[in-house]
Amino acid sequence: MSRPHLVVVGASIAGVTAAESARVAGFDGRITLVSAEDHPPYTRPALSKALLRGHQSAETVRLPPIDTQVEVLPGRATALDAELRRVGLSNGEWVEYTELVIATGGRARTLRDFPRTGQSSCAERTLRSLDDALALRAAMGSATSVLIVGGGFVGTEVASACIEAGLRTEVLTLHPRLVPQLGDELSGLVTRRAIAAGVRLTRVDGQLEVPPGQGHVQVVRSSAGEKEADIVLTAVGDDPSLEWLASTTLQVDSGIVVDEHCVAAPHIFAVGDVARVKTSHGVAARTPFWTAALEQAHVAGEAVVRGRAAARYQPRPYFWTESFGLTINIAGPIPASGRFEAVEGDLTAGAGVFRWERSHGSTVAAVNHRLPIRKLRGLTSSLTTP
Amino acid sequence: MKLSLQTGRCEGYGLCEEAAPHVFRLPESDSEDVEILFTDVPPEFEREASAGARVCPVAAILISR
Repeated sequence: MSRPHLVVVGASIAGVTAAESARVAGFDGRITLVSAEDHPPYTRPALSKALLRGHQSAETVRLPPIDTQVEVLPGRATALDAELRRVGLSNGEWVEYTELVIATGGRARTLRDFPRTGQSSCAERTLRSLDDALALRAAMGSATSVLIVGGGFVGTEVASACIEAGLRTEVLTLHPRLVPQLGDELSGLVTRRAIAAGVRLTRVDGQLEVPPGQGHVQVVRSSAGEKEADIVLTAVGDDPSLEWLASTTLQVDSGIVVDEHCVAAPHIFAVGDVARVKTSHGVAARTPFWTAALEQAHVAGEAVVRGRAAARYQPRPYFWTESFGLTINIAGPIPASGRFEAVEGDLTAGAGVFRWERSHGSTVAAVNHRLPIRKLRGLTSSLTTP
Repeated sequence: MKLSLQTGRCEGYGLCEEAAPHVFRLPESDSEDVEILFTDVPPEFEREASAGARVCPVAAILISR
């Protein structure tokens, strides 16, 4: 029997963590990490925050070096042959595996992805990779205005960086407020701060078009009319990278459906932004967040070695966002709902710890208040115990 | 293995402490940066230390050998 070979496709935090977790769990075969990136692994959440604001560089967003016992293979996966247990690469080669972890992440949606509502050209930018972020930062240096399509986490963080860089900044959004995922209270706070900082917020109905730019000027047509700016950035979410799995029998439905051990099919695992975890409650939506990627990768790495005896994945939502002088860390399900209260501090002052209380499992947010994940998670349950 | 913190980079997420409790400790005061418990990481804690460094979302922890 040939020596075990774990192949991990995707070298972001999910892929790197899965490879290292398998080693920690005792996997003693070969490990190959297939990386489609031109850069060493880096932290993606920092791109729309410190990197775009010029506080971090391409060098300082790098993750610590990968274990020397992991081979990094540059390339993009183009096909999966589950029968023969091999992955096809963009250079035409096949890599055989005994176990496979799919961690190919997602890609930014563009208006091209909404064929009924939009038409676009290459004029629009997106922000997903380090190269996207470096290019956007460079463009911001010589621009005077930016139009951002989408007011979610990425759109709002980019708007904040653009305001800080002195650009005339307008956000086109479907919602009356920025980051509606944060719940009415916090999303209202971020929106007020954004407007006070000079952001122009324009509500549109979703019918958007980005025609080819003329010279340096980019144009967006929407229900709010035709608008021009030096930069157009589309931030309307991400889609999982699944094209290369088109001819497989994996259960693919807006993500790769996996069980609580992150198993998609025999000898095939999926983790991070591509994965949807199926539990007794049904198939959850994808959770494209840092700690979800980490925790799924831990589960898969261990399950590669221990199979069903490994720990199961238990979602524990946690994420953070920074914009307009507000750093917000949240533990618990979002969008937050329930009875809202201040545990500490004052929402209008923009600092404190806040909780949405429900009968089981609250959501807690720390706003401009450093609170480590352990304490934040502790607060999600402390009131529910008698 | 030696660990160091990039000055001014720690934002107190505490993910390193969760992943590597023998190596990183957050002070009681939440405003202070994480404390690295070893100048030289003993071999038995090296894997834990690199796991703790890797989960930092701002890549604040540097590893040198």
